[in-house]
Amino acid sequence: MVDAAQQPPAVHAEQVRKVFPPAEGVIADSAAGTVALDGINLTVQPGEFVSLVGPSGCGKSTLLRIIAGLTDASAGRVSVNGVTVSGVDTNIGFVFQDPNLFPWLTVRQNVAFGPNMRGGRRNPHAGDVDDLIARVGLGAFADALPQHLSGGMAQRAALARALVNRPPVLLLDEPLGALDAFTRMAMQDELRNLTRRYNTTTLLVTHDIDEALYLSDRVIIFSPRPGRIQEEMVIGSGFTRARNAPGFVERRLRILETLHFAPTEADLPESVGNWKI
Amino acid sequence: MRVKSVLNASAPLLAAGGAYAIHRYWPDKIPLSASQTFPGLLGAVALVWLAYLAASWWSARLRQRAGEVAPLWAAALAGISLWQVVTGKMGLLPMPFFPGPDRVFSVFGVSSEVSMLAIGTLHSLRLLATGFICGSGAGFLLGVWIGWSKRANFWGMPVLKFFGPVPATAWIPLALVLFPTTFGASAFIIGLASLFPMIVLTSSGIAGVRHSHLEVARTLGADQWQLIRHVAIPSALPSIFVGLFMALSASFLTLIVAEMIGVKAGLGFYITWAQNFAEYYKVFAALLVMGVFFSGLMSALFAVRSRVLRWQQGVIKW
Ligand SMILES: Nc1ncnc2c1ncn2[C@@H]1O[C@H](COP(=O)(O)OP(=O)(O)O)[C@@H](O)[C@H]1O
Ligand SMILES: [Mg+2]
Repeated sequence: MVDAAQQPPAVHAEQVRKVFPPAEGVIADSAAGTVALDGINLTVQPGEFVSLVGPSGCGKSTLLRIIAGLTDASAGRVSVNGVTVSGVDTNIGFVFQDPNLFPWLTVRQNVAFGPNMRGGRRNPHAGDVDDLIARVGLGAFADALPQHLSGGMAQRAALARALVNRPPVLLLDEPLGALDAFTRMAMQDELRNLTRRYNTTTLLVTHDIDEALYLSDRVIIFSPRPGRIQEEMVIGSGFTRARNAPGFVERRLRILETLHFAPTEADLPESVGNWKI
Repeated sequence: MRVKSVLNASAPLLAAGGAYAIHRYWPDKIPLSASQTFPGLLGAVALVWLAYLAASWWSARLRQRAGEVAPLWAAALAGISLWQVVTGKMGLLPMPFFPGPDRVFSVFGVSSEVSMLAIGTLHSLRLLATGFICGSGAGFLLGVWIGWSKRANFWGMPVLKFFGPVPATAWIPLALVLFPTTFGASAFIIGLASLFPMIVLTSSGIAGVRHSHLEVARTLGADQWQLIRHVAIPSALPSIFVGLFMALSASFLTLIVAEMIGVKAGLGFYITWAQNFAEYYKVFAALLVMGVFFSGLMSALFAVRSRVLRWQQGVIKW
């Protein structure tokens, strides 16, 4: 019997460091190159939804890419479900900020790409393609080419494509960053439903603090480059996820404070001066 | 509006009638060919146009299409008529180098000539197909390799840069030594002519595949071969088609050169052969056949491209 405590963490990073060597045409921080990440320790439990926020350039994307096996770490160790990451693995789904749909394939063919690469019809998930397309609300567009989709639709197709393999771990790199506010809110709900439904462990990089608070069980705040974990905020299951709930606003301010963006007394008009916490 | 469209639709008929009248009643400087093929052709064109109009009575699409092509048909007929005026009717151009349409089309009324042209076309097609398919096929494979593998690119590019600009026809002496038959040698030269544009455009298309597409495919479980087959090649297809077009034009040129200097069959051979007898009207007839043949192949390739690259329409206009 394996109980929950003995189950290996879904994602485990230990003292991860990443240095990009100086290269032609790339502005490095020093002659030794750019230290993108330093001393990252991170443990994500199965089924957990964790968000990473931090200033741009602090290495969030780099960390996701290391976990996905797309980039090697310079030092440290990363494991997914107890297995050390040594290359790209289909146990991990990845959604980029750009939907990156293959323009020569229809929505259905794009979503079916993963199963097709891994056994075609014999793949156990080949039958899930249409189901997932319907679930992300693209049923009527299954045969459309990506060029005919709006940004939000394309990103939903990309989400379906990553999820059809039923990866136990899903990595999302600012997937909703390019969308307008309304589409984004609708997709946040969709994302929550889908990851809940499949009990997918999710790591979300976002620059939208509300999004992080709204979706996550835990928010991790990075320092500016070289990226280090500066603070962790456990949201907890009792948390009211309404965007205007008092706890929500309070936590948002705390994150902003950590990121040195909190409004100071001088920034606030007289009438809301009592907002300070 | 109505009057205008009726006039437009009947323009080819008027042009055919006018061309016939000029052919029949304008006094000749150079004796008219006894052959009735040219006036017959004018009549046939008029009949085909009438049938087209009749069919478009029922189909709105055909009607629109007829309206679009009517001026082109009329202009083509007028051009042929002008050709007759300048040559036979007014005698402005030296004979026998510039025969009129009556004389050129007379070739198509002689069954032995028609069968020679037909057999010539088939010979040309066989040689062209052999050379083009082998050359562009090899060019495709090498292009994929050079575009994908850094090492193949490192060693292959200098060779390509060095030999690529050398015209394929410059290899003729070598080809004749290497191959026992002139057919083999010519197919080799045509293959070489299609090889280089194909390698260059395929490899640049493959090398230009978006890195992010490859990464997505890898996270979805594609292995190296699947990346090439399902990501790199599809995304390189627009460039590959440009390579195919260049390869096809290069192989036309090489085909005719080969047939004019070595191969004893084909349209190019027919032209040199007719020229030796100073039968220039046959030269022109063969040129007409060649025009139909080559433009037909080009159109076929265009049609394939439109089908295969449907996903690209609207992204890039061409
Ligand atoms: N391939 C690379 N080569 C060199 N430097 C890179 C590369 N990728 C990222 N970096 C650098 O690493 C730092 C972190 O980048 P990134 O992970 O994209 O940050 P974030 O996603 O948090 O905005 C940046 O300074 C960036 O310039
Ligand atoms: Mg980033």
